[in-house]
Amino acid sequence: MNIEAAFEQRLEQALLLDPAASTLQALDERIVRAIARVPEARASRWSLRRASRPGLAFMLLAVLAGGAVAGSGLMGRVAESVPAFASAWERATPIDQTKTVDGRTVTVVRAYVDANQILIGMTARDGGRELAELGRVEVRVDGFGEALGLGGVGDSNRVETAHLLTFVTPVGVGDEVGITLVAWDLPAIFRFDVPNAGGRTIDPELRAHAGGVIVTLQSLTISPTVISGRLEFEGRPIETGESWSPIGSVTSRGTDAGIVIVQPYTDDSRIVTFRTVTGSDAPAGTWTIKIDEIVGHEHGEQVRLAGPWVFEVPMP
Amino acid sequence: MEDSDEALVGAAKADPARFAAIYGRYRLPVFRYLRARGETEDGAADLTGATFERALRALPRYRSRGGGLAAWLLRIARNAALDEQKRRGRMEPGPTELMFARLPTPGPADATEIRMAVNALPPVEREAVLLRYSAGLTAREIGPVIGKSADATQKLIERALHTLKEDLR
Repeated sequence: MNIEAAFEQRLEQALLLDPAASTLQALDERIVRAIARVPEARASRWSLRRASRPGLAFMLLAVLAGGAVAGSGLMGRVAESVPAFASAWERATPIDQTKTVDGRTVTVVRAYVDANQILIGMTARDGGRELAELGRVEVRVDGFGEALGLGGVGDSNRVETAHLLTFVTPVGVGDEVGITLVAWDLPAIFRFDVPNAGGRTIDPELRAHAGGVIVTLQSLTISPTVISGRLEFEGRPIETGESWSPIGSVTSRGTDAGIVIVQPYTDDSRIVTFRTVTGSDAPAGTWTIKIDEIVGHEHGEQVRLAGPWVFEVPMP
Repeated sequence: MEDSDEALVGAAKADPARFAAIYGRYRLPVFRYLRARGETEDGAADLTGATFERALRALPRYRSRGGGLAAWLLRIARNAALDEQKRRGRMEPGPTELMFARLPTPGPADATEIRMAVNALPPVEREAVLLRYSAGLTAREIGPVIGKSADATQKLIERALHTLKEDLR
């Protein structure tokens, strides 16, 4: 190394200050929330359909995970890189099914199912080279006719540039979940069964008032890797095509999870679903859902209303 | 083969989830640049978040100009840092003045000396050096961030390196 290069290397070493892993995780989650809150008017111009909005956030995580592991021995590092996947990955069932066509190899490495999410970890190789693109992948659950879309049922059946796929679990899946995965670009079909780690759901229909807004907690699902719920907002109209986004947390003994992903539940903009990226193995007990503020848009301007709206939910 | 920046932008304009790829590629360069400007770990993380939130909002209007995506993002980051500096006003010294108070040395004495020498550079040279050696931008990418041509930027960096070598001799 010449003197010039050595000096530049010293300079780089002195000026490259990397974030702590926890800082990076918090940053990742912030950007997940930002993407999930992209205004509907803009999102509607984008290619994924409305019902897949939580999928946007999960797909972000999938892309980040894919990016983090590409070319690096792969899936075990997913858990290190993205907190949303860490718990599910540790609990996932080894599948280890490999199909090779014309030198291209796709492997389904592990899969996981609970009441909130289905996670499938995959790798793709062309010869000895790891591929960043999985190509078009379609996933179906036995007993449910439509293909799963990221974040929704029967919405999008295309997933690209992701090594780790996450879907919302269809309501009513059994203890053992049969999954069919089609990797269209190979093409190859994978069949595997995954035990359902379950979870618990209740419909508390609890109401809380603050700032002229009534929030109803319609449902709450606590599974080992995710907590999700459905909220209805009344008392303050919001523009058509917009929804209130809650900012808050879900807590119980030993669990303190921030609300990360929010999406409209249906075309009724008063109702949204939310998710955390942390779950619980011990759902029984009292859970506190605290919404500190809600964010929306009125006349094109961002509106923030302070709460709190607090729900104490006894989970059996 | 890795997607080009322009391919990432096109994909993200079509599908918001694909913004993740842009974020994934540039989160560390943006953080490192802000950190090297003298922000604390939390401050740099907050400004990095703000940078990508602004970029997400502005993405539909993004047009490839000089410097490309890297220059666009780092310009947003720099503006975010300057906005924050203005917000702090005279309540406390700005990031530049605090660079060495805030950096998490102890590290090797050599690193501290280098940072002190960088901080002593004229502002535009210091900015070019930080963009080059903390964010990893090329002279062509740095130019649009600091409002100089690629050639002028390269000369600035060379002059800064010469000064640093003299100071650190």
